[in-house]
Amino acid sequence: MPENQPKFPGVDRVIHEPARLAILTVLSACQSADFTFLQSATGLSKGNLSVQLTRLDEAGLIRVDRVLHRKTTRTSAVLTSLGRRQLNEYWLTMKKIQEQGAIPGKTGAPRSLARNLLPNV
Amino acid sequence: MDDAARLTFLTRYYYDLQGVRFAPLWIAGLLLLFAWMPHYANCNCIGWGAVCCALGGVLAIQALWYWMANGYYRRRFGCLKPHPYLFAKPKPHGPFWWACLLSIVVWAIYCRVHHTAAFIPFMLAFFLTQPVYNAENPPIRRIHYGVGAGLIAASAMLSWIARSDGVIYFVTLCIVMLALGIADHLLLLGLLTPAREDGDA
Repeated sequence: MPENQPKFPGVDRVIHEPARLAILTVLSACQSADFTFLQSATGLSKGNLSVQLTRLDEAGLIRVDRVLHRKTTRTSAVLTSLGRRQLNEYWLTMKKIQEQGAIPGKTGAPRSLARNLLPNV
Repeated sequence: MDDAARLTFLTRYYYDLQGVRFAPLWIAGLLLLFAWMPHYANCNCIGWGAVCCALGGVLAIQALWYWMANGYYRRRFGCLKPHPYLFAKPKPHGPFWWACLLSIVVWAIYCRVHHTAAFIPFMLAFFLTQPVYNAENPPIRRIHYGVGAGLIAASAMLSWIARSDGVIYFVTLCIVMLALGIADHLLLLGLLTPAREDGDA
């Protein structure tokens, strides 16, 4: 890498994936959310949401609870303290990247880089 | 509103946006008012028994509808558990909220001194239209509630100036609150992410 290239701080790839970021964003604003709400909010298919929840659970960022209720299983997810900390760090990293990407001589940063990195979910 | 802000707002205000849960209360309020108006000149012919029965019926229908609407929202869009009240980030109130609250309190004190209850409609309008003062709401919701609050306050003012019996105020309140509930429901639908075609990983 050439010397004059900006050195962006590394981002957590587990969180950076748009579907997982959307799930974490929802969970960060509540105590817990059930599978149907996560599906409605993120627009993910059942299969994809299930895969992403498993991935986040394995990474220790969320805790998935399954409760049997009237012969059906109710799945809900909770953001762990590690997940909350990692998500905050992720947004701080995004802010740093945005600041580093600011064009010298112009007021403020260019259009939010973080926003561009979070495509429509 | 970007996606992160949209998802955060949707999650934090999910239950506030379920606006049609109180629809029967406002519809029944209007129906009862119109049923009562022809007998207004002769109140004694209605009797307290009928009034109590009507109010009890309205509350029963409201409770049933509320339970059904909760079930609908839970099945259709899911449910979530908000942060415990003490640990939740408080919903912000701007300086405008404090100015309005102070005005209402001063107005209420003035009214109590002069032995009138003219402040009650304004106080009710203030508390029913809280999203106007909350900067976390999208502009369209604040505009809706702002217009609603204006209409309710104007009708209260009109009733007070004309020294009427409050029918204009009551009708305006019911219609505005019903419309705001429907607008909130539509906003909720607009905030949800449509299912994606490429949704599978």
